[in-house]
Amino acid sequence: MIVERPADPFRGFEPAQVALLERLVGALEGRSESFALSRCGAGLEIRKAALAERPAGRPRILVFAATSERLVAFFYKPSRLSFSRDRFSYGAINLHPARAEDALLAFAEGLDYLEADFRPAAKPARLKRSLDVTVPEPD
Amino acid sequence: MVTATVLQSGTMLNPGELQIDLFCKGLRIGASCDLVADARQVSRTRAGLGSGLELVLPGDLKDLWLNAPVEEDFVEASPYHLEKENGGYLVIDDRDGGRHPVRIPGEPAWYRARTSSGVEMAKVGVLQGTYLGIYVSNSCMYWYGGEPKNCRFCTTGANVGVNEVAVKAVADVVEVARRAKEESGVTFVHFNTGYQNGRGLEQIAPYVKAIKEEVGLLTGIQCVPVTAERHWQYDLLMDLGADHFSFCYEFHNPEFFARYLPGKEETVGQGAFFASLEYCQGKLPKGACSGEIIAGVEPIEDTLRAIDYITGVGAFPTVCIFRPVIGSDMEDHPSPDFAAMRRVMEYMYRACRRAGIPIGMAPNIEVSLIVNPDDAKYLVERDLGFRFYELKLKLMRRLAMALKFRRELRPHPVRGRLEDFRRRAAEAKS
Repeated sequence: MIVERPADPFRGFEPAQVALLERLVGALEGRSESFALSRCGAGLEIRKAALAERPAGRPRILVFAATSERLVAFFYKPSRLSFSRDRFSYGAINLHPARAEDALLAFAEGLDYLEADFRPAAKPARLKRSLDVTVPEPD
Repeated sequence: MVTATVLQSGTMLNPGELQIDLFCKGLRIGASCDLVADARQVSRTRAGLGSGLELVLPGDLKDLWLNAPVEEDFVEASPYHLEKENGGYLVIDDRDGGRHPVRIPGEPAWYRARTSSGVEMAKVGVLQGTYLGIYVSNSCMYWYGGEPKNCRFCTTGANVGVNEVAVKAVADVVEVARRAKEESGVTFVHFNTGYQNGRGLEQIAPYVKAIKEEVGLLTGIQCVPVTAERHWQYDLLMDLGADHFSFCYEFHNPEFFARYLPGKEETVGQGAFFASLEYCQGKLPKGACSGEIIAGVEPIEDTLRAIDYITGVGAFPTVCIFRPVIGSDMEDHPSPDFAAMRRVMEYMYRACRRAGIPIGMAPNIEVSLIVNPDDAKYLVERDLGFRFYELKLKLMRRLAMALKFRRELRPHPVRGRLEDFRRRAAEAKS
């Protein structure tokens, strides 16, 4: 389920991308874990929500548009240091709006990984460790 | 006099023990710190196990450099936190209230300067401890391909190209090295390539020659080794001015080598590291080469065997304390136990002494990612044998400075030619 969401989660995405993003967000709604969504630069960021019994998780997924044909789900942890903007990469999964069903399957694996706090044993099979795109900076 | 203390007793640790314990447990950053103004940037692009904050622990025998883990999740449980008080920094141990004054090396002005071609100098090379570390080419090839064969403790492939320029021009490297020498007192440049499909040594050659002829610094090389039929490449690099070769074989136990270093296992195998280390050390003065290993993953007895092997061939051991680096495949592996690491480092010092390895010879080279062999002098009794060895090292240092280092630290022509490297490489190919 989603317990926090921004007012305009898909701002700046193209219509075909929005169609896929709506389905990805629908996949979040269908899970028992509580998620928080926020805008982060040119992307949509997903993390485990802060609850009474636990703080917000450190792992994040940032979904952004690499090209009009490709969204990228970038898995990372932010720096523990308050002054640092470093993001520690765990890799990325490509999500193609033209192959929505495949993208949903890949995204579901990514959410399993997020729920497992990026434990190496839960690494998605489709996760690419070396990135071929520049990840957008936060605002 | 016994200088070592027992951690469980709650007594203060000596600087050597504190260094080891900080490597094992990490350091939380207190709200009083102003590291933006006071520290070097935290960079994990440099080497497999690096990710932390550079610190100097003052001591009566020598000051110790340390790259303390600060980003990893295990750091949250560390009893150590860094605080700023009265303009200085302290590492505070919550277990016993111990307060250890430390120095935070500042960021050199040249980091933000640009080379003549417009590249930010910190994107060409950065200080690691007191030396200049340079990745000369784009990411290690073990990271590419359908099933990455990267060393499982490493995150380099996820970073190079993001925080650094991919390919470094020789002229840029020369400019950065010159500034680092003039402004930061650097005496040593360490070149690293990661795996380059067997072409790493060839890629490094022009940089080594240029540094020798145009800047005047000691040079070290770290590449995945070549097979025996291409050992001539080491000879040519020595002719071009290479002073040091390091061989990161990480684990002495062959099963651990194969499990955690799949790329090295598949492309060259552990034996190539031994053969190249023995070949290079056989041609250079005792203690010029190193075998690099990681302690805290394989059984300690294997690590001790590695130290015996490395010192037995006349090289010095560089022993990293395993760090489950954030984002690495081994992030879930526990950080090592202090007592075990203390035992390893004490053993390392005694092994160097036994084998007569001249440690701490080169001027102003302090490596922050490892416990340097001479850092471990804090771990042994300061008895007669200790004093005799220290005196011997002091005399050797003076001699080495007069006979070798003074010349090497001035720009001078080298006897090797790059054309020879290219010609031999072409001949080998044909």
